[in-house]
Amino acid sequence: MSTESERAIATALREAADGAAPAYPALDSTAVITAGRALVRRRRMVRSGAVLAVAAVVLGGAGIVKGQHDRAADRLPADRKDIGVVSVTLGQAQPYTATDGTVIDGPSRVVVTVDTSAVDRPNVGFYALAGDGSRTLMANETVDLDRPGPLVLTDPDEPHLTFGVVPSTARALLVGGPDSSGDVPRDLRRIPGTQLEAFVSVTAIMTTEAVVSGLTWLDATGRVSTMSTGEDGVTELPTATVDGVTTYVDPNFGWGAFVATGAAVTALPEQLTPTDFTDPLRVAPTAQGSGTTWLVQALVDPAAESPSISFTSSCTQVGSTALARLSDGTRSVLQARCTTSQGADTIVASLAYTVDGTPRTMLPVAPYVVAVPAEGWLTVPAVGAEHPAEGLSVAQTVDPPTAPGQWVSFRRLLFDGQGLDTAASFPLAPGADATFQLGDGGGYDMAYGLTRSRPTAVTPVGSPASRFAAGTAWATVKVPGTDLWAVAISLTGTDDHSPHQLVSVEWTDASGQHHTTPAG
Amino acid sequence: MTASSDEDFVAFVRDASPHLLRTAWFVCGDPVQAEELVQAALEKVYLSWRRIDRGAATAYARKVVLNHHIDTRRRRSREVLTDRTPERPAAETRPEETDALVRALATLAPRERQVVVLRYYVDLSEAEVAATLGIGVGTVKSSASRGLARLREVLVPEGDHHA
Repeated sequence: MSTESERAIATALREAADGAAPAYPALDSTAVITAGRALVRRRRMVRSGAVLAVAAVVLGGAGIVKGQHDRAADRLPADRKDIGVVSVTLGQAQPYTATDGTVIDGPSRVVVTVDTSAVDRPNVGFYALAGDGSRTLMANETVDLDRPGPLVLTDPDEPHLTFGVVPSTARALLVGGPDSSGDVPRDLRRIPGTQLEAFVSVTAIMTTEAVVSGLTWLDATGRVSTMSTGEDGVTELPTATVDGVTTYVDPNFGWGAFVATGAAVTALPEQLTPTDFTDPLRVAPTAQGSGTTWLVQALVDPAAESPSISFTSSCTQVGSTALARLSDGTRSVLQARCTTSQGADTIVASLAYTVDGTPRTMLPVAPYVVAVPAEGWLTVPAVGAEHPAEGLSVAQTVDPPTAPGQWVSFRRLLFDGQGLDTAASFPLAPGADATFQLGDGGGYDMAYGLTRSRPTAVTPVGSPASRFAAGTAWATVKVPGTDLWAVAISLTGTDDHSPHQLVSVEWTDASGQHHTTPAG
Repeated sequence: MTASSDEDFVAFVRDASPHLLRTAWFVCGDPVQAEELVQAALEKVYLSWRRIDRGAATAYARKVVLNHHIDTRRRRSREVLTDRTPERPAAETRPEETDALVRALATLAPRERQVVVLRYYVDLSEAEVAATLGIGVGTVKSSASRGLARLREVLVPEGDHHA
């Protein structure tokens, strides 16, 4: 933290906090403990094992339980007759490897019980089922069977497991979290005699209640709902359903989709939706057989018409290109499928549609790599481990010709490979020979530019003049279908957030003419 | 929960809650909602108290507060802004500059606001902010940059911007 503006904000925040001191004494710890103890008591009611009864279901196989528990106090005899158990065993074909390297073997089972002996406080319990048939309580919680709300639970002794209940209308769900993924083993089962469905999901990362952001699920009517951890409220999300794919947009957490294949429904992972995005695109494999079927989706202008997608020669389109408006009317989903017989680096050649008769073209996959010397980055403070040792891929999106200039959006591949993030988006005005702007580069900053002729040398000029002393790197690519060259410049020394870091860019075109373009 | 464990927790609430309350207030913009957020977060901390590393308890509680903030925002169609009549008499004693700052923070996107508060009030490093919010360091950096730029626009009177 080194700039004047950063220090000013920090000081202002601390002064504001000090000014608020009379309004904020420490909370009453007695009230907190009283509320906490009430929850603990409810959990102990079931752990006693004295009053369990009624409906139960065994959730199997999601490859859930790793290792054995040694919590004798939580164990229940396997042959209790007062626990109605419906046993369902599902297998997990392959061991699942979490992102921390933990291998979770399958199949294994989780027993879910609903205790209605306390009529006003029915309790759902989740037990790990060991090989000898004994059960170990992982967690339980009180639910309202008449107005079933979603519930998500975790167990510190099963850190790769998330479980809970959703209303019985749910057909598929996604457990949200920082690394939520669509391909983890999970299961969703109706609990007989109730309006509940129990779910168990393996998570790619170690979970705690603070990590799991919530649940998103698709119901039988095509509605997508979401709830957040620790909250009872449910929010219905805007959706569009095309060819068995229900796409939803969560303004806070991203966009995702549920894909129906026969009777099965698969959740695709959520994808980040930057606040300033334009036409975010996803390409996801949805079926494996002799080849791979890819689902291609883009969120486009709600007034879009006449959609088309051109695939590369490695991918053959299956079916037609469809367009459906989200239920809230804010965007439309443009969608198509293609198949590849072998791996392909590039699937989509272009997307096109019209808005009020004006054609728009999106060229989402034309990546080039800005080779950044790792040596230079390692000298820059605050860059840390995210130096782009393997380069930065940038793709551009073109909407030609949109007045007053030709807009180009630079997309940066996210570090986790989950999609593209808009790094900068701006036009080159008619008559201008170049424009350059600072933009997001992930763990560092970049400058992005458009020129009308191919640059052969590019030098960013900073403020102060020594700002980029640790080195810069640049690359350029012709923007297809235009007379523009897109330029990306990796910068050093921009970790202090001060304004006006980039003064101008000096560059030379192919004819040898020198230019100095002030930064926008 | 043993008596000594409860004593530990009471001490933790006493020590940590003022700072958590201020963090929550900056993030949500409303003193009453801030108390609700922290109260709910501390209840969760209490449930997990026996297995929480005491040195990480504040960070854990802060993470729960921030998750609750996003949760609450999802449940409500829009955020509660600070131009409504304060329900707490003590809030009336806040200086005008303080309210201006909180109002300025409220103009940021929720994630930008969280990043700015964690980075410049809580004084976490970019990596620590990223870990707390479950986002990339790059997102922290860009969110902080955008947030600061927006705060400069809102807080600095027209004409005072320097070139």
